[in-house]
Parts: sequence; structure tokens; C-alpha cells
Amino acid sequence: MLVPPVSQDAQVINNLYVVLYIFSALVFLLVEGLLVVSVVKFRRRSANDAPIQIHGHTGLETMWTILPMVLVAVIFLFSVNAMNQLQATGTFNDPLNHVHGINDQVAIKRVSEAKKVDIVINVTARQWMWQYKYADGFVVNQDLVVPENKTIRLDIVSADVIHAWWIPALGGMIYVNPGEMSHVWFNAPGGTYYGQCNVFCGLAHSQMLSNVKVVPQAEYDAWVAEQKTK
Amino acid sequence: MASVSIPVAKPGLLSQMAGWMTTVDHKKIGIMYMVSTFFFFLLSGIFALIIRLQLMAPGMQIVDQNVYNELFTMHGTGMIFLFIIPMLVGMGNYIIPLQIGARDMAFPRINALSFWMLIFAGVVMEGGFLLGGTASGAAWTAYVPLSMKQFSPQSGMDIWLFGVVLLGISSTLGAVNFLVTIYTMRAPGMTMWRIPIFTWTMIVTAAMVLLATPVLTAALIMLITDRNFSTQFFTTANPRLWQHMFWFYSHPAVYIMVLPAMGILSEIIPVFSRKPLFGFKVMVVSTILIGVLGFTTWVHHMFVSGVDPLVERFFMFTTMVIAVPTGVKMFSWIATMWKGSVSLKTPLLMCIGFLSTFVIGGITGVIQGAIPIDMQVHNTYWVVAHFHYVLFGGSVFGIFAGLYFYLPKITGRMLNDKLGKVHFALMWIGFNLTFFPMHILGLEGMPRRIATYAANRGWDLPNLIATIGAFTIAVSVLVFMINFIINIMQKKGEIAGNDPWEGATLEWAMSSPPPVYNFARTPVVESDRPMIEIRAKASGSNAPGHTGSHN
Repeated sequence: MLVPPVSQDAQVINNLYVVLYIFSALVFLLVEGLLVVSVVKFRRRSANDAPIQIHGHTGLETMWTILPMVLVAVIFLFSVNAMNQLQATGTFNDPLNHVHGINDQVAIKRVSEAKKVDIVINVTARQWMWQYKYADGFVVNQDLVVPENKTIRLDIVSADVIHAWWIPALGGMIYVNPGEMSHVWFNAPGGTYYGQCNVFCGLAHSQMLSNVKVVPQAEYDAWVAEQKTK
Repeated sequence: MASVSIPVAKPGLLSQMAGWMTTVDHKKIGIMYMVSTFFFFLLSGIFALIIRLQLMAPGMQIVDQNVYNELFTMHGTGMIFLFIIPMLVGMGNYIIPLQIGARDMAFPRINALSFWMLIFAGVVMEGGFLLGGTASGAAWTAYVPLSMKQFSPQSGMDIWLFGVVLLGISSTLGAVNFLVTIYTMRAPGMTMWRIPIFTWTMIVTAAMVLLATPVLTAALIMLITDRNFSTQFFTTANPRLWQHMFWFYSHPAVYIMVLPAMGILSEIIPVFSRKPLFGFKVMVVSTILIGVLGFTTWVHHMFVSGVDPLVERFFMFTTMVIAVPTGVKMFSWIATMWKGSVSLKTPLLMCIGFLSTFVIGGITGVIQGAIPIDMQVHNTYWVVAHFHYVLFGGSVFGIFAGLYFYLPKITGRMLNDKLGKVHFALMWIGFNLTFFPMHILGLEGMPRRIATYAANRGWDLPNLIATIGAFTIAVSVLVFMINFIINIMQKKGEIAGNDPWEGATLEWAMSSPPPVYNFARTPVVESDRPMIEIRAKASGSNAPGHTGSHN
């Protein structure tokens, strides 16, 4: 991944990408290499060329069916392993990411007990902005500000159409569907991480930015105090 | 051929036009398909150039974001529904009755109806945009609830939906026609394993259209009634229902667009290598397998939509497995050229264009089939790169291969091979310049379908390169058009003769262009490459080839 991963989730995804990239590079070189050789070495040299008429070869055909199947199985297992890691230690690829029905109290209770979190922020996605409602009651429409190295849970709902929450450096994206609550957990070091809505959501889709500012605890406390006085 | 010249008055322009408009001849209908879809290709290509101009640099405002949103919707639907699918249908329309030794399609009038519905649908879809400026601005996926009246009140949305419904009906009728034609009208002796490979791919394609397209048509009609009569099929209580119905068609649609192109490759590569297709039966079986597996992967478009992770694992597996029959095809094509006598004429170069780029689309398909990766690249420019490597690198190179291969048969004139090579070189370079950098943009976090972007994201250079590439492709298409105008329209090209390429199948046995009635006497087929025997009989030798004058 070219966006440097900063969260544990992004790191898991990045590791899987590197593995698949190596497999892909090998397949790519093999196919393109064979292609170049067959075109260069066997190009027509005389108008009377009459090559031997080969109709097929069962052994070869079996080989290039079995070997790709093995390769695909290996890739599948690597991917499932990454999914399990995301589900166990990270926050994505969990049924709890989507609660089908905002008022499903049982599911909401399960989400709140699933992982120990430091801060919960209610997020509303609407055409074309993200609104963050903090526990202290204030609402911000600009960047999301959170303290560094703390586990944050976002409870995201959509007020209108489908949007998607995605901060590339934090890894993993999730659709925000109307009538559902989507959950994202993250824990990030200090920095500013860019993101924006990732499902086409109408006219000003390209301006629906969702940047995350992760700041030291003291700076965060000062920022919260300032917001409360507004 | 002995001919008796009978003086006939040349028909006037009006009666010629009336002749074209009322024809039920599969060849004339095929030509009309190809010509009209080429115009839709040019129109959708111009939309793409405007999109690339807008994204050339951060913060550009060539068109406002409303028009931009309409442009990418119309570019996508135009290329898919009005160019790639019907262009391949048009080629099938022309070639398949000839390949199987039939006089026409099974239902000639339905054939004409399919074509005219396509034209009507195309005019409706594009007309809503070009005349009123109110096309669908909800992307080609038209996800609910964005496509509902509340969020997309413009009538252009209804007009667009109506156009796609018409296309779906046209496409379904065409599929029935192809299946019945190929099943009932083959020449005597053409058993299952002697059906030419292009015809085989059209069988599988038509079966897929028949099973998938009605689902989209139904979904579109439900959406139209939801928008206009409050029927509430797609409520917010289930935001995924539309996505399931849409992708149940739209994922198989990828194979509907690429299988006939693969069939064209499987015809051309053996001819230009002077060898039979390597593993003919395996090629047929892999085509059928792609057709079947193509129906089991649609949820991979919804890995972040909120489908249960357990279900997602099944679809991740099927998505990866479909790479196996595709890989078998890649290796079989290369094995066909291996130890052959490979003639590097334009049709074969276009096939090389397909093979060298489609492999990247196949590989990225497996990579993003891995759910954790998809959670990072879904809806980004990586996906845009991936499907252009499949649909342009695959289908469009395949279409141009087919045009260079079959236009001499259709028109009786050869295209200039040097200009063809210039076209190929510019298109291959332009294609890779345009779409390879999009992989990088996606990994850097650039979402698709954004009208503009800020300068601080590091997306400037890949976007600039992509725009330069897009205009290189445009120049290459101009080269093709010049080649076509000079050599075919102005009849300056060499006369093609019956069999300019040493073809293998029946269409090369007849004159170029073929007579209205196709075969004066129904041919009897004795092998899977009937032309080999016909040529051998004609020249009294057993060596393959030798009768062609252009090799």
C-alpha cells in the first residue's frame, strides 16, 4: 500500500497486499515472458512455413489447471487468515460492523460490550458532510479530532443516501447505509489522516471530506474545553 | 466465378435507405449494429476525454460537477450498453450464420426488432442527456436510495432507466435468437465439437444474457415504479436489495462482454499461427465454466456493503476460482502460437494487445477478490484501472482484432496493415499510460467518481499521465478511422478475395462480401476446420495455407 499504514488494521491489510503482490508479480512475469518468447521466436520467417499441427496435450492442460487452483487456494487461505486477524485483533470484517436496524437494542448492547473503548463518537453522514457529536454534547462539522493512542469507536448513521467511511491510512472502509448503524474502531498515533466519502452520493460527493486529526491528550482536552464554550 | 451481367438500374438514395431500414438480412443488420455502435463508442469516448481533462490537474473546472457526474454515468453506460455488448452482438450477427452454414438467423424479424430497439434505446439514453442536460447523475450503478425521486428528482433519471429497460429487452430477444439459430440451423455434419469456437462463446454469452438480463430489467422496472408510483420495492429497510439485483446482472455482464472477444481471439490466433487452437475441447469447457461461475461471484461488489462475513468468504472463493478457467485460456492461446508460424499482421497484434493487458486485469481481479484488500481498494481508482484492463484491454482490443480480421470479409477490401500497426502501437501505449497509473492513484486513496481533487493529496502526476494517455488513445482511433475511410469507404484498399487470411471456418469459403443468400448450396461439414479440406481440394496439396494471397 502506498498510503503508509498507521493502525493495526491497515498493517494487516498491507501485509496481505505484499504477499499477493509477490504471487502476482511471478504470474505476470511468467505469462508475459511466454507471450514475448512465442511471438519473437516463432514469428513467421517464410510464406511457406508449415508448422506441425499440434491439437493439444493432456498433460500440459492438466498442469495449467491444477497449478492455478493450488495458487488460488493458497491465496484464499492467506486472505482468510488476514480476515481472522482483522476480526480478532482489529475492528473490521466483523458482523458487528453493521447493525441492521438502528433501534436494535440487543445488537447495540453487543457492540458496546464487544471491545473496550475509550471514546465513543456519534457520526452522521449526510449530503455532503460528516457531523461528529461528542459525548460532551457538542457537534463539529469540520475535521474529526481525537486523542492519540486511544481506542475510538465511531457509531455512524446516514441521514439520507449511502455513504462510505474510509481513512486510507487507518485501513478498511465501510458503507454507511440509511436505516443502519455502522461501527468503526481505531487506535492511531498522532497525525492528520486524509479521507473522504467513498460511495458516489450525489452532486457534491467529491467535497465530502472526512479528515481525522489525532492529537496528544493535553491538546485534545484543551480542544474539547474550547468546543464546550462555543 | 462465371458471371452474366444483367443491366440493373442503380437504386436511388431513398430506396437504398428504405432497403436498409426494412432489411431482415442478418448481414445488413450486423453492419448496422457495427456502424451505429461505433458512433456510440466515439460519443462515449468524447465523454471520457472531457472527464480526463477535468482530472488532468487538481481543482480543474472544465465542466461543473453536475455535468461531470452525468458524464461519467453516460460514459460508462454508453461504452457498456451501447458499444461493447451490441458491437459484439453485431459481429456475431454477421459472422455466426456464415460460420455455421446457415442462410440467416432463425428469427430474422426479431433480429431487426432487436436492432431497432437498441437504436431507439440509445437515442433515448443519450437524448435525455444531450438535449435536456438532465441525465442520470446517480452513476451507472444507480444505487438506491440515491436513485430515488427524493434524491434524484430529474426526469433524466427516468429517461435513462427507460432506455436501459429497452436495451435489456432488445438484448434478451437477441439471446433467444442466437441460441435457436445455433441449435437448429447448423450445416449437416457440424456436430457439437465442430461448432467454431467463436460460435461456442456466443452460445455461452447468449445463455448468460438470457438468465441475467431479465433480473436487471425487472429491477429497473421496479425502480421506475418506485420513483413514479410509490410502489416501495426498494425501501431503506433493505438497502442491499437493489445492489443484489443490480450485480446479479452486472457481474455476469463482464463475461457477456469478454467471452465473445475471447472467441474472436480463439479464431484469429490459430489462423495467424497456422496451427489449430490448442486444446479446443478444453477451451469450450473453460468458456462454459466461466459462464457458470460468472453467476456465483456478484457479492464481491458488496464486500463493504454490510453482508455477513461468512457469506462473503464463499463469494471470495468463487471470485478467485474463476481465474482458473481464465488462466487455462491464456495458456492455451500462448500454446497455440508456440512452435507455430506467427504472422504479425494487425489482427494478431490486437490479440497480443488483449493477452498482454488482460492478464493484468485478471491478476488485479484476484487481488481485490481478497476481502481485506477490497476493504482498501473498493470504489477507488484501483478498481477503475482493474475493469478497464478487463473491458478495454480485453473486450476493446478483441473488438478491434475482430474488425481488422472480418472487415475484409464484410466489405471486400483490405485495411492498410501499416496504418493498422500504427493504430495498434498508439492504442497499446495510450491504454497503458491511461490506466496503469490509476492503480497507483487507487492505492494512494483516490476515490472514483469525484469531480475534482485537492492539490495536497499527491495525485497530480498519475492523473496528468492518464490524461496524456487518453488523448493518445483518441489519436489511435482517428488513425483507424482514416484507414477505414480511405481503404474501405473510398475503396482504395486491396481487394480481399474470398480468403485473405487462410481462415479455418466456412465464412472464408464464400465471396467477400458474401452474396445475399449466403450459401447457394448448404455446405456439408467434415471437420472442425472445414476450410483446410476445401483449400486442400482446391490446390491438390495437403499443406495448410498456400491459397491466401496476402500472407
